[in-house]
Amino acid sequence: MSSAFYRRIAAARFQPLQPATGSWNRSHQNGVAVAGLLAQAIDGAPTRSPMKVARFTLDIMRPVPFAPVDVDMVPVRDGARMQLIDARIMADGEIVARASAMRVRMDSTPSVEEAPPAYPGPAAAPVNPVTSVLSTGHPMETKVVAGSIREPGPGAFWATFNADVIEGEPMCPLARAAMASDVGSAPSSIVERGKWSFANVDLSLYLTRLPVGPWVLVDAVTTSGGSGVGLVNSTLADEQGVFGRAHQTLFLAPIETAS
Amino acid sequence: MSDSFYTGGEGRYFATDLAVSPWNPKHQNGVAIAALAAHLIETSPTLAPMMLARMTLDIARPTPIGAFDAVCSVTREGRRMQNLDVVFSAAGEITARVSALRVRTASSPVSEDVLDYPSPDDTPPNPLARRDPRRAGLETRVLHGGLTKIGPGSGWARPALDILPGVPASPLVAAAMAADLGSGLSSIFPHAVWSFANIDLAIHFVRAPVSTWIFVDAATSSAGDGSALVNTVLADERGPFARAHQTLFVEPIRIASASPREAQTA
Repeated sequence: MSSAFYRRIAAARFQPLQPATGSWNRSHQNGVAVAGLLAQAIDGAPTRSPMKVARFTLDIMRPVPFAPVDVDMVPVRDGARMQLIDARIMADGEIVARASAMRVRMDSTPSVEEAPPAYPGPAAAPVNPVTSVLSTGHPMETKVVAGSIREPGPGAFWATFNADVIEGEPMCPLARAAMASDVGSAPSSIVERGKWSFANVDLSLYLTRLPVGPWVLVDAVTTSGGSGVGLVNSTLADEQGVFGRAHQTLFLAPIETAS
Repeated sequence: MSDSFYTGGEGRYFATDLAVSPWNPKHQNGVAIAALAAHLIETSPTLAPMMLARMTLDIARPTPIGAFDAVCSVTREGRRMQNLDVVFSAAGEITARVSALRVRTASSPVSEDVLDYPSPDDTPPNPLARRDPRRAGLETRVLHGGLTKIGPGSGWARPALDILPGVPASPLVAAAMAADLGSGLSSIFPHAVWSFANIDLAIHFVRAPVSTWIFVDAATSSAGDGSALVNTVLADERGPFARAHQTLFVEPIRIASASPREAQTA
């Protein structure tokens, strides 16, 4: 099995590898991979002073084809105090996915941190993957500590990655947070399995700091006002405590059953 | 007729002095910018009935009081989903950029957030700021927290101005405006020592709000490295309908006219 989601084949051109294959359609790339690729691109973009990413917003506008893609960076504002930058995946000259990041200069200011979530840490948690395909050895390894994908209701899991996003380049903490967050919809479903589909169409991260260490906890609750749209609300933590929030918009639709 | 934040239309606008920022009188207030952005999104057509699922507003630079441009364009059209950008610019530079996602509406199971809070009628008037609500853009009734109390805060807010002449704030516009109050309600910083302007505002909706009275329940946290994060729940008279977040740029307040000794004891 490949140990990376992508291979860099030119300065800003990436070949997707097997772990980037779409779960629903093998001719598309999956959202976890796309989130990771754009997070790595943003992390690699220089800033005028030391900065950290405070917000990351990803829109996938069209299915990303399972084929080489170009990533281009567009700074909207490149200042010494903050940077607003877009990273776009282009396919056939069209923007198929866009991530925007707000980066803020670092300085010493008052800290008030949230209470840590009351779950066992990754070492103490039993092996209990989110889904049968995310077991040990897979590029993404998970341990569920609350809820499950088989039952409606909130869910929480630890995630770690056994593969680079880009072959030969270490996974950055932003990519780790974004990729883990993208799975938040899975164990927090509010609909009956097999009757409704709930594809996530965007991903937004709000961070007080970047995660430290190989494991990220995603504590997810899905809500809906009954309008065919769901919202996943996730609290993100690492072994040191809470570091942010994530949200996904879900497209809720009944699954057409064959007669 | 109410006064309005803005005059103008068709991409070219003028910010009145009712749109002034509390941080700098030459700049526009984030509440006003959020209101105009939500209004431009809401009045932009769709190919099928849709609801606004997400609105992410980034402040790249201050938007000046006076003339500026604000243009809404579709970045991805569709019958199931639509992506839009609203770009604010002045003097040839982008000052703010909003990215929005709308999703077609359909019937699906309900599973809502629960929040316990009094109705606006049962919340005594208690303004967030001592300014005339017409200058703050919103009439506010703080339930707990506020600018001089450190910790989480909540309260009701309702628009006190029209967006444009003859265009009152809709419930969606009211939600965008109220979301910007999260930072003031839930400050974690000693009053008048730290400046914590928000450089973005993001709102995630599960449904459209049904009233212009919006309840804001907010908490701020920070890892102490130059920024802070506000996490907010927005509710109306029916219940919670959205989550909102702000990134705050944290720095000491500069007291320009004080002597060095006064600055130390301020």
